[in-house]
Amino acid sequence: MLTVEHLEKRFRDHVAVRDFSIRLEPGEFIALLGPSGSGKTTVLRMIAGLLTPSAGTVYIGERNVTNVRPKDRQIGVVFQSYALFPHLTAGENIAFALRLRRVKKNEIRDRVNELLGLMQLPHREHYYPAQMSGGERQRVALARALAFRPPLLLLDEPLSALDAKVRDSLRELLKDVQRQTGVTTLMVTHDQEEALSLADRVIVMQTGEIEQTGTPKEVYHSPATAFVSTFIGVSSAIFVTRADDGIHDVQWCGYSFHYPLHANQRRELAAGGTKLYVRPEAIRLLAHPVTNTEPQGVVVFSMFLGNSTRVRVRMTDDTLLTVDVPSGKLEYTEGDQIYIQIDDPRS
Amino acid sequence: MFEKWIYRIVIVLFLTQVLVPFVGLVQFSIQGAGTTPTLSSFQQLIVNPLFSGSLLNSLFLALCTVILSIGIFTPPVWHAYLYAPKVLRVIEAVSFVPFVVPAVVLALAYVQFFSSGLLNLVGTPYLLPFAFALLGMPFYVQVLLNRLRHTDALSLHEAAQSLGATGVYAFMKIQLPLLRSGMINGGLLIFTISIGEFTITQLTTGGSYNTLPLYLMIAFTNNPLEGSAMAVLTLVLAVMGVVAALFFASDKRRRVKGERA
Ligand SMILES: Nc1ncnc2c1ncn2[C@@H]1O[C@H](COP(=O)(O)OP(=O)(O)O)[C@@H](O)[C@H]1O
Ligand SMILES: [Mg+2]
Repeated sequence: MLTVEHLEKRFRDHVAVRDFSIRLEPGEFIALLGPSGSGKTTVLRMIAGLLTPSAGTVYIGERNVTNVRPKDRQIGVVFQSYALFPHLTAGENIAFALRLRRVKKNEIRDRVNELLGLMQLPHREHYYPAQMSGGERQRVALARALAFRPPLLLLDEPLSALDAKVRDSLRELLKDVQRQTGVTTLMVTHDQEEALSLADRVIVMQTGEIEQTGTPKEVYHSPATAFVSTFIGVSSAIFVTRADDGIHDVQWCGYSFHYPLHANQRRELAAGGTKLYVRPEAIRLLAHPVTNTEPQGVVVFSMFLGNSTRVRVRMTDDTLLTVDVPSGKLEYTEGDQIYIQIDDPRS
Repeated sequence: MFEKWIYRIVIVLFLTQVLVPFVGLVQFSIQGAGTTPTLSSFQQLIVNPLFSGSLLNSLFLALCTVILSIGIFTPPVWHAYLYAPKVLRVIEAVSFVPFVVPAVVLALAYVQFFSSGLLNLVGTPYLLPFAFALLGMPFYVQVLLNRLRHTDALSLHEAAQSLGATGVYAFMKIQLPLLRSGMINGGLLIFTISIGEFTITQLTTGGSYNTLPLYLMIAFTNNPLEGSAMAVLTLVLAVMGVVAALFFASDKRRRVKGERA
């Protein structure tokens, strides 16, 4: 549906986006996740045609649109600031693209009503943007972008300006609307929870480059780089070597276990060893060893978080691990001797 | 307590400063040098065809200047604001030139440039709208920029284009309505400047085109009573104009924000 090849953007000598390539299948929902300033908006604007790339190509379907004007790209865009026309009502905003396309009056009315219904905004048609709440404005912006049934929808931080409650309910609505309309969607966000909960695939970006692409589960459970592991949630880095038992994937301090590896991690492993980034809930604490190979450590810190307790453990090789122990399980306090097991996130 | 008194003194000084010349003028034009108060100087003024002619000339000139200024300043300032911040800095800097260059110098520059050849326009009023527009430029540009800074102009323009609008359509249908209050406020400033301009009018037309300030000057020298009556009249008109403008602008603002629920 959308193919982007080797996109690059320079602002003078500053490279904002470098060698950016992605491919979106029809109906797919992809999140572009990265910290502020990593180049997400720049990518989005190049795809929308609002910014000329320094290099690279953009295809919509089979059509090369790299030099096509934004108005001829047929892409729905929801801007970070919503960009609703303040002098038009919600209904007029939604109808804007349809009027431009000379759609018949009664068809416009039907479409506007349909979208207002879909967005759960039944009585807001005649309101001006200034009279609506942030969440309502956001929904009008979404309706406006979808009104002309674009095959591709671009969203720039659609929920980041909203407060937590509204954000949660809008997140669900967004997912619903995307499923119902089947529109191929590329969403930019710096919020990992938003990306993981909404997207079919997540692209993690840092300083203009793609760090990792994968399903939310892949990206979360087996971060490919140190950056991904720290940007998305918390994890412990452990240096592993190839398991010598021929069964397991990797080995650490004499303890062998299964763990999914990325291509580059496999390469490094073949060359000696690689770093794994293990999530706190993938590590289990034991009071006694089960197989006598489990590594040993000492609890150095513990903090109650509600549904779990976060424990920091210093292993005998001085590695520090962060572990989440579900509440209701055995409790550990500082100074306890423990053993650890690592769960395969795929199981 | 102490602060309260300082505050009051400041207010009194302010009002004195503003009102004394006005009160003086009113008193003078009504009583003249004589003893009995009379409104005859005002009557004289209104029936004087030279006065009404110069008033019409001035209004016409001011209107032309406003239209010209809105037409030639709005698009470049808007475009530079959105797409060329460096050019905008140049425009801003240039727009302050007439602010620091004395009107006499500007006038002489005009006379020098337009006194011969194809552009032999000295002695005609055709230069005046351009000259007045130049005088009003710093104010107009700042008012417009102020308005632009209060709208998310770039995102709105891009949104319109992503929805299928051409740049021109988006400018006409989205940007102009948003800039309207800025154009009105800036236009009013230009209007006021144009109505009151004396130096350039005098020097480039050589008095061949009678405007309100020129007439005022002549009236004051020939008949001080009539001159001051006219000054009062001008002030009253100006105050009425400002009040009307404020009313108009605030009404517009309410409509733009859509407070009529
Ligand atoms: N018009 C511009 N001129 C110069 N630098 C820019 C411009 N737009 C963005 N940048 C730079 O490009 C980088 C990426 O910006 P952006 O795409 O907005 O990041 P994000 O959306 O991920 O926060 C930043 O370092 C930013 O300063
Ligand atoms: Mg951004």
